[in-house]
This record gives sequence, C-alpha cells and structure tokens, in this order.
Amino acid sequence: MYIHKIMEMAPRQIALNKVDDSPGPFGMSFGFTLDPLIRSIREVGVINPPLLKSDPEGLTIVCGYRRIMALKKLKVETAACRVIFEQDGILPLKCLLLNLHDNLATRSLNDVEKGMALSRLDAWVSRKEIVQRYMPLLGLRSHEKNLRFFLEMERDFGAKIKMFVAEGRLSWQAVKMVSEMDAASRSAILKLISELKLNINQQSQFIDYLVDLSFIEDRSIPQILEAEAFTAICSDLQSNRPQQAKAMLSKLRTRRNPSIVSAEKQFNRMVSDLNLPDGIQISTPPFFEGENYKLEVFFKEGRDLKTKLEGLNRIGGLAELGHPWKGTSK
Amino acid sequence: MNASTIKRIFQDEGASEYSLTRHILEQLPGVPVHPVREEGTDAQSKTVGTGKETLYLQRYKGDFLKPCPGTREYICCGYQILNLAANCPLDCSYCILQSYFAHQPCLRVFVNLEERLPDVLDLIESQPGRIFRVGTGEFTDSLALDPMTCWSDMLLPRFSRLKNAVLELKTKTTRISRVLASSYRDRIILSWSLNGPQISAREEKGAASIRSRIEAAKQCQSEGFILGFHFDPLMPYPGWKDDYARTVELLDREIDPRGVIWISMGSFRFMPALKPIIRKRHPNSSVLNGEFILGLDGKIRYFKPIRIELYSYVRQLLETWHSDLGVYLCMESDEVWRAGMGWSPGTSSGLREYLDQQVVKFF
Repeated sequence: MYIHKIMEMAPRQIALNKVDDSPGPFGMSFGFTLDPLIRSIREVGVINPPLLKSDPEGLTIVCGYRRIMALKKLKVETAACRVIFEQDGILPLKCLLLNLHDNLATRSLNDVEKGMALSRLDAWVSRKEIVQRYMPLLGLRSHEKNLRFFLEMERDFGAKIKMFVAEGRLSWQAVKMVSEMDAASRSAILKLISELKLNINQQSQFIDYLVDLSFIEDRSIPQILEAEAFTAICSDLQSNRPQQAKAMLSKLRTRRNPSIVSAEKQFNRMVSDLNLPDGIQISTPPFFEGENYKLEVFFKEGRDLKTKLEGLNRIGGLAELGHPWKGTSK
Repeated sequence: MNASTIKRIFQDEGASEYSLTRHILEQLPGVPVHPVREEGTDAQSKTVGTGKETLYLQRYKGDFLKPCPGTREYICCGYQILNLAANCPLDCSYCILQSYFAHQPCLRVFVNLEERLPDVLDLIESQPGRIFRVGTGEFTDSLALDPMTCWSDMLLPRFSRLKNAVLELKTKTTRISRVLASSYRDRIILSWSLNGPQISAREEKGAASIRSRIEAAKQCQSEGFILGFHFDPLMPYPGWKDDYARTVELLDREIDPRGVIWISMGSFRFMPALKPIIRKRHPNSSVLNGEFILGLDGKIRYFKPIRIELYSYVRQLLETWHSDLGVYLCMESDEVWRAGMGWSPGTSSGLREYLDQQVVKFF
C-alpha cells in the first residue's frame, strides 16, 4: 500500500515560498476560514506534516492545503513536510484519492469543494465510476446530470457565486437559475439576495420574476433592478430587511402578474366592504382557480357562533360576492 | 422534416424483422445505423435538438392504445391515444414533449406496430357499445413522418372498417400525399392544429404556415375527408384578437364548415419542468410571457379570466363562421366552460357523450 510508503517518509524542512499557493490538481478546499487553524498552530504547531509532491514545475500540495496557507499567513518560512518524488511511483490519482479520503475522514466538504473533488476525479476516472462510486461517497445523488452540474459549477462559476454556494446562502434551485445567466445579471441578483437576506423560497421567486420581466420588458435584469421603484425599497430605512424583502417580492409580483394582483386586491376590497363581524374571514381559492371560496369562523362557544352567523346573515351584499372580474371586460 | 434531416439511426436488436423497419431504412439510404443492445442507452442524444436528428427504431413493449392522461380536476374528452412514436420532428417552442421526453429526446418509431395492431383492433371491436375516438397526434405529429413511415397505409384501411371507432390524424404539416393516395375515407378524420399566424411563424418551428395547413385541409376535404381543427394552445399576445380572426377568416374562405366534425380549444398549459427548457431551447420565444397560475392538476396555466376571454372570443369568431362546429374545450373546468362557451357538458362523461354524438352524426 502506497500509504505505508508515504508514512515511512521522513518529514523534511521545506521553504514554504517554494510551495504553489493554488489548490492545484489535488486540492479541494474552498470558502474556509484559517483562524482556528492559525490559533492551533500558534499554540502547538503543526501536528501532521503536510504532504507535497515534487514536480519539475515545483512543489504541489497533496494534503494539508489549509495548514500551508495558515503557516504562510503566520509568515513561517519553513515547515516540516513529507514530499513525494517522481521515483516513488505514486500516481496523481493516488495523490488525489489520498487527499479526498483525508478530507472526508476529518470534515464535511461544502458543495463547491464537492465540485472541486469531482472535477479533479473527472481527469482520471470514468464518468460511470464517478457516478457510481464517488458521488455517494460525497453524499450526492448518483446521477450523471447531477455530476454535470457540479462539474459546470466548478468550471464556470465565479468566486462570488461559489462563495454563496459554499456558505449555503443560495438554494440549489437558485444556483441553477443564476448559473445560466450573464455575469452582470448574476451579480445584480446575488447582491440583492445577499442584502435582503432572501430565504430559499424567496430566492427562486425573486429570480423567476426577474427573468420573466426581463423577457417581457426586453430589459436586462440590472436595468430592471436599477429602477427607482426597486432601489427605493432597499434604501427605505423605515423598514427592516424582512419587510424590504417582502416589499421587493410584492413589487415584482405586481409587475409580473398585474391581472392576478389586481383581482386579489379587488376581491379583498369587496370583502372589506362587507364589514364582516370579528372572527369571520373569507378567502379565495389559490389564484381563484378552484370554484369554492372559503369562510372561516372563529368562535369561543355555540352562543358566540350563533351570534356571528346571525351577524353574517344580516350583511347586505353577501350574495353579490364573487369573482372580481365578473362584469368587467376580462 | 424530411428524410435528409435524419443523421443517424439506432435500431433495437430484433427490429430488423419488422417490415416497418425495412421500409424506413429504404427511405434513408446512407444514414448510419447503430444496433442497440441495451435498450434505451445508446440512442439517447444529449439534447432535444440533436435528438430530432436521431431516429430510434424501437420495439414498443407497452400498450399501443392508451386513454389520454386526463385529470379529475378538469373536464376531459375521453380520447384514446394510439402510440405510433414518441417525440416529434417539429420543434414548437411550447411543446410539452420537450419535458416528457427530455431523457429520450430522439425520434422513436415503434416498428412492431403492425404486429400489435390486431390487439388494438380486437380490443375496440370487443366493446361494440362504446365509441373509440382514437388519435395518433398526442406524442408525435400524425403526418410529419408519414412519407417515411407510411403509417397511413397501415392504419386507414384497418380503422375504416371498424364500426365503433374513428381515427383522427392530427398534424401541423401538409404531408397529405399518402392519405390522399389512400382510397379509405370512412371513419377517418384529418385534423390540423391551428393558431394565430404570428404564433405559427414565431413559435412553431418546422411546421407549415397556417395558410398552408388550411389549404391542405381544403384539399383533403375536397377529396372526401372529414376534418377537425384544434386551436391549441391559445395564447394572448399583442394583436391576438386580430391574429385569431385572420385564421378563422381563412377557414371561412377555404373550408366547408359542414364537413368539420369538431374544433377544440385549449389554452397554453405546461408542467413546471418545461419552463426552464423553453427558456434554454427557445430564448426568443414569448410563450412564457402571459400571466400564469398553478392549476389544480399541477400544470401551469393562464389565470382563469384570461382563459375565459380567449375561449369566449375565439368561440364567437367560430360561431360567426358556422353555428354547429362541435366546438369543445380541452382540459377545462365546468366553470370555465360555462363562462367561455355559454354551456357545459358538466363532467368528462358529458363531454365524451357530446363528442360521441358528433361521431354518430358524421359517420
């Protein structure tokens, strides 16, 4: 087993400026903070020596990317590392698997890191094997389409969106939706999702409205969002973030579905004009699609119920309640 | 769609024993043929676009005759689907098949049709008290592939002799040469999907123009065929009223309404999964621009008053053409029927009876 061979290697002092800073062909670290590791190194030093690979181009990190980064941040000039040389005959795939299993044994990979791992495996392993063997190992659904998505994410997404994904601030649905956009639209959307702290459901709705409006109005998403109606919502200091988020979605919905919103408002006005007794509510079927409206009566006991029903019975105009578009041009 | 657009053929092991396979291959000389051992694997092209260049000659193991998958929430006409093929050589932006067959986007022709057709006919004949309205246009265009497959040669004589069925061939093409060459007319309905000319030009890639479709229908009517028309999917868009009026004007000019058994209307509806596919495959399409809601059947459809306005307007246009056209709605609620049509069959069985009566009246 090559792992025994590696463990038998004596660590040697390596000048850290000779070590490549990039995650390289074996790395799968993204969106991490070095602070806890720096504290640990300050206290007790590096417990496990990083593993490097010596190539004609220099030294590449196999295991211990974060340790090397922490050491560099601490301005440490040399550190004890194990080094694999070409003559050791340890193939790149072995190095990659070493790092993968080292990571999986000690922590959970975020989705960007999973994409990095799959992308690196893709260079050496058949797609079929990746789907069947490695995706379950990473806790992912074994599906070629899913694999393609992770590979595309690693290849095509910029650092900003990757950070959103790594931090779990963006739903998968939203990731898929923004991944197909131009950079300016993506950036404008991510900025607002971040600022307004939209939840997962709100994110999809927000993006969906914007994409639709962009098509309908033949304007770019940044152009739509630059309109005063939207910028005013974000700069409204009287509202907190959840209120701003709600206002933003409401504004977008009204613009996207004016007839639906108008019908809802008109119906609410009709109900309001009825002056229903306290504890009685009338609501529409979802989107007015079903035929039945709903009446809810909240009451304490039978006497209260009777009083409310009698009050309801006395309301004039109740029989005229119906679809708000009846009798209109719609 | 013509034979030259097929770039490759996949063929199930054993498919060569069917005459339909041999006939199709004769129509496509020089197109490379790849045998498929593990069903459904090699023949899956990666996108719908390339799928339409790939023909898969497949033995279909399921039932060739199936009821149209309606839902309880809306009134359904009780149509029966004869499965000849899956997927369509046309490329309409709004087509639901893009999501139905997203994982098998190639054109699949079921070459064992002739072998299995007797079972279908036996089933129909075993229920003489019931009228079977059978169509082949649900999962493909009925006539787009006909010059290559010669389905009409096989189907027309067999359905023509049935006493309790009609066969409806529904198309957006003008591929009528083989049906016209046939001597069978009884119990055969040739139908065209119609729309506003703008929709046809912008959203129905590969389909014939509305004028050409109506001219083809006229020719078929003059040769003794009963006709049907389907305004589906109706859509509101700038100028839609004038546009649909133009189509009805063309019908008025070219078609004798007394030879039209039925005209259906349906508004654009789709499973949510279709939306990103349309956005990706048809970036210039405007079919998603309307105001949609989630319907009771899980499909996205226009907000109810918009649907009512569409139906009401087109119905009135049709009524000015002729008062008895067998107009009906596809997958709509009783409420929308009443508001858009002025009457309702009430239930799915009510609509079935209405359409069965049309069959009895015409055949």
